[in-house]
Parts: sequence; C-alpha cells; structure tokens
Amino acid sequence: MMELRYNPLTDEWVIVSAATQKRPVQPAKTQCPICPGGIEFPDTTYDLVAFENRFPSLMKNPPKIEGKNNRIFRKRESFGVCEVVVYTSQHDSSFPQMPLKQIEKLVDMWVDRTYELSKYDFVKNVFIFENRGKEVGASLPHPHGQIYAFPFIPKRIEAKINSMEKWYAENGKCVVCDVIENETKERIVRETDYFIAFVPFYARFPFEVHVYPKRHLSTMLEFSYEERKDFAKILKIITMKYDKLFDQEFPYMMMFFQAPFNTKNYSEIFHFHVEFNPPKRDKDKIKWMASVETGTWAFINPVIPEEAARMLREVEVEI
Amino acid sequence: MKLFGREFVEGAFIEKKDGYEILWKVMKIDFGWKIYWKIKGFFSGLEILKINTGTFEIFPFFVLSKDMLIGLLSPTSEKVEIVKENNEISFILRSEDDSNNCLESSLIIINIENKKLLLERYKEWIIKENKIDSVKEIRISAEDYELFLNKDEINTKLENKVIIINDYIEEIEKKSINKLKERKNKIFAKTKNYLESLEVLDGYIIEGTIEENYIFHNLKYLLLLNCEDTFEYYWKHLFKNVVFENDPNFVERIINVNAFEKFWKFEYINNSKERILLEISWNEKQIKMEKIPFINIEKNSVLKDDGRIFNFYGGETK
Repeated sequence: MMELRYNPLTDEWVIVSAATQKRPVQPAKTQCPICPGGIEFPDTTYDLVAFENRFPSLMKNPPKIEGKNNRIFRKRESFGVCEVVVYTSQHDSSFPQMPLKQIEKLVDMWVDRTYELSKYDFVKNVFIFENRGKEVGASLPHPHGQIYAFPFIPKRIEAKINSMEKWYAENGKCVVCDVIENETKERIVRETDYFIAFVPFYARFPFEVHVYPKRHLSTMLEFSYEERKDFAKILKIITMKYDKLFDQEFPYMMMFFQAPFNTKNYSEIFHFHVEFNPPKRDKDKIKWMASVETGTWAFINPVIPEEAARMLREVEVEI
Repeated sequence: MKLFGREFVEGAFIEKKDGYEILWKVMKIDFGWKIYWKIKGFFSGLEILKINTGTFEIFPFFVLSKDMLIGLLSPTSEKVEIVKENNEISFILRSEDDSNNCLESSLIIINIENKKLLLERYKEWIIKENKIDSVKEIRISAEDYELFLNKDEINTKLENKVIIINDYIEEIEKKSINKLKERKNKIFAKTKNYLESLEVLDGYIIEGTIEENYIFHNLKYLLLLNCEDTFEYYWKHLFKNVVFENDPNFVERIINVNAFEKFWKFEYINNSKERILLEISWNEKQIKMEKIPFINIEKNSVLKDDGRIFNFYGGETK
C-alpha cells in the first residue's frame, strides 16, 4: 500500500507507505547496507552517492491507487522521489569529522540533486535533511542524509511561505534579509564571508541554530562556487561545535528549506535557509517533541536563546 | 576636486552670492563622502562639483571609474547636468525658474576598487535616501494593461490600468501624466534618466546601460519592450521583472554577477533550468553565451536491475 491521503481537518496530505516499515534499524557495522560491500553496493565502492531508497514513501512511478476517491476521503498516487545521500564510504566518520573537502563535494552533490529532482514536473519541493543519532530516529549510523522530493508543499513549508509573503507585502522586503540586517551579536554563533549562523530569537529547540546566506537566494541552485565552499565550512563549524558542546556525538535534525519548484515563483520572497533542530536540552536530557509540540506546534523552549548562543559561540573549533 | 568652487573639505559651509545663498555639508560615510546642499534664491547655472576626467564614464545621474562612483541620490526639482569639458567633469545645477528657489539635494562619493560593489553601494544609498522598497517579479494580464504605441495616443480617461507608453516620459505633457495618475493608473514608459523618473513612473521600459539597469534592478518594475538586435535582447532580458501573462518565457534568475573594466559576467538559470554564463562586452556590443555545469565534481549515473538510479559522485572539486 502506497498512496497520499488528504486530511480535510488540516488541509494537508499524509504519505501512507507500508514499505518503510521494512527499513533496517541500527544494524551491526558488518551488516551496514550502505557500506561498500553492503547490500546496496555488493561489488562497488564510492566516494559519495545518492540513490533511490529501497524502502521509499514516494516514487517516480508509484502504484495506482486502490479504490475510489470521494468528496471526503481523497487520495492521490505517491509521485515523488526519496533518495538516500551517502556522504562518504567511511562508516565510522560523521559530518563534523569529515574533511572540509569532502563536505564541499557533498554540497556540490546536494546542488546537483536539487537540480536533477526539480526537473520532474510533479516535484514541488526538494527537501534535503539529515537525522543524526538514535534520538531523532536515524536508522543507520553510517554518515548519510536523505532527500524527499515532494509532489506537494508540506504544511510547515507552506506556513513559512505564507509568512514570508505576508512580511514582503507589509514591509516590502524579504523577512530573512530583514532578520539578518537586524540580528544582534548576542545570538550569533558564527559568521563567514557568505553565511551567518545564529540561535534565532524565535528558537523552538534549546540549541537550535539557523544558517542563512547573507545574499538573498531562494534555492541551492543559485549558490555561486564561492558560496558553496563557504556553506560547507559553516556547516562543518556548527556540527563540530555541537559535538564539543557536551563532548559527545550530538544528535540533530539538519533541514534545508528551499523555495518550491514547478509552481508559482516564490524566489523574491523565499530565502534559502538551514535549520538545525537538536533534541538535547542538556548533556543527558532530551527535549521531546511531546503532546504540546506535536499536537499544537507550540513550543516551550527551556533554554534562553541568547544563553544557548553564548555557549555555542564560546566552543572553539578549528577546521 | 572642487565643491561649489572651493576645495573639497569635510564640514558645514554657508556662502552668500549675488542673489542666492548656498549651504552645504560634507559628511564622512563608510567608503566615501555624502554631500548635502540647500540653495535659496535665484541663479541660472551653478557648478556643484568639478573633478578631473580621469577614467570616469558619464551616465545620466552618476559618473563611474574603476574605483570611484559619484552620483546623485534623489530626483532634483531642477535639472542637474553632468558635463565634460576639456579635462574636467562638472555637475551643473540648471534653474529654469526665474522666481526665488529653495533647492536641496545630495550626492555621494564612493571609493571602492570594485565596479560591482560601487554600484551596489550606490543602490543601497538610493534606497535609503528615497525610502523605496524593492519590487518583485509581476505578471500582468491582457485585461489589466493598455499598450500605447506613442505619446499621441494617450487616453487620459483610463482608470486602474497599467499604461505602457512606448515613448520617453520626458517628452509627454505633465498634464496628461497627472491625469492618468489621478485615475490610479500605473504608468510604464521609457526614460532618459532612471533617477529623475523615480517618482513619476511606476515602471520603466528597459533603456540605458547595463550599469543603470543593474542599479535599478529589483527597485523598479522593468519591462522589456524594445529590442533592436540580439545584443540588446540578451542584456535587456536579464533585467526584466515584469512579464505579460501570455509570455511563454519565465523570467530568468540571475545568480551571480561580476563586473570588470571592459565586460560583465552574468550567471543565470534559464527557463529550461540550465546554468548559463553570459559575458557582455558593452563597448564591443558582443555577447558570449556558454552553458556551464551545475557542479564541479564528476558524476556517473547507473540504472540498477530493480529500476532504481544510483548517482555516484567524486573526484576533486575545482
């Protein structure tokens, strides 16, 4: 069973995919499916690779939907693409431990995947992400991320677009450009030539960090070569700071937000950005996405953003 | 460099002349100077600033060399002409009104060894000084616009339309423009001076040079209407942010710009989602266009037996 089902209570699409139940969870190193010699690469090695997930929730050629649509219970075929993005063949590495050159190549790969996936007319949003650590549901420890090329604009991204449009209409400028212009030193974690990383004024998670390009650009396709290198650098710095904060492999959700494709042009109002949502609120404590957060989207942040920024800023790292 | 006939120095000054009085201030800003002046009384022509010609190029409202830009910051009620004579360039304020005037305005001097940054810094000052917001791409439908071939065909009874006049605004009677404005029409026309038309026009039909359009790109609605040749078509196409609804082309997205002494390089994504590098040599009227790869690393795509595609990447980034 694989289909999209419409929720009229929230005006959103839910992806139903029984195949994802079969995904392996935390296999032993010798059983890693994405290591050279593993089930996905039985006789090949690689530097970096992006491939369609064996257990997808969306497909380029999805199965026909079963049964009939009606006014209330609407469903659609699950058009889309789910890719696994393997950062390196080194099983025991991790994003912060990878050499900067490898991350630069990864950025190039992300740009190319965005470009290739955006060519499908049914793709409306290319969502690049990494779940790092068991705490956020990562099923494999081998350094990797994923890409979902959605056939619709997911609800939270729609909320961002609506807010960005409203801000533009009321203030005549992109909201992210406005935030960057007015951001204060107390929340900045690190600044590079082309990017700024800070704990936002409106952080929902205790050590949440946002990375914004200083120049207004709406998707990764617009990155210049210099910006790509700089992007690799700032992501490495932030993830290294995270690991050093409590001297442990710091779990996080790293998510890239890009303007939609193959629909209305949002390039003027939408500013590409990255959100790191780490679940830790202290060395041994988790900030759970519990009833209030999941049910209402209202967040209670137990760490003052300015204090979190100070802690992260004071963690010194060398790349 | 001379300012109102005197040596250029920081500070505030007042000078009384025969029939008029000038107050001017020279203020230090990041990367240069801002000059403000206020003139009361009657004069016919007055030299604001004089510089050596050097390598300056003259545009309707600013002059530009490889490391300096001197430009007016807002429309002036009386005309400022930039005049080159012998080895000198002068900014001359001409007054056609013989009554007593009180004129105030500003100009800016920016000193950076980068043409693109000079223009960008100038653009920031124009935004600040005129309190203007940037504009985003718009589409206009057939019901919403009226296209005039020339100034003689203007119908001042129109209301709530986008009126596109294929003529210079400077050659159209002010009375007609005011009537159209009163009836809440938006007016698009050609202009000889983008800065001077800032308040009069809602949108410009793309004219002038790359430099002028680069400054006003995203500040004003820019419409592509006239292209005499391929050269014009390509460079004008880069800046348009107004499209007709029946236009099959998407607006191309500029992703990177580099300005050199004799040419410009634009990187953009076209409507087929290709990355294009366009090199424009303005003086030679030449364009070089090249499709460039999105990535710097090697890629190899393999179709597996189960129908999945594996994309292998590697090699060295450049």
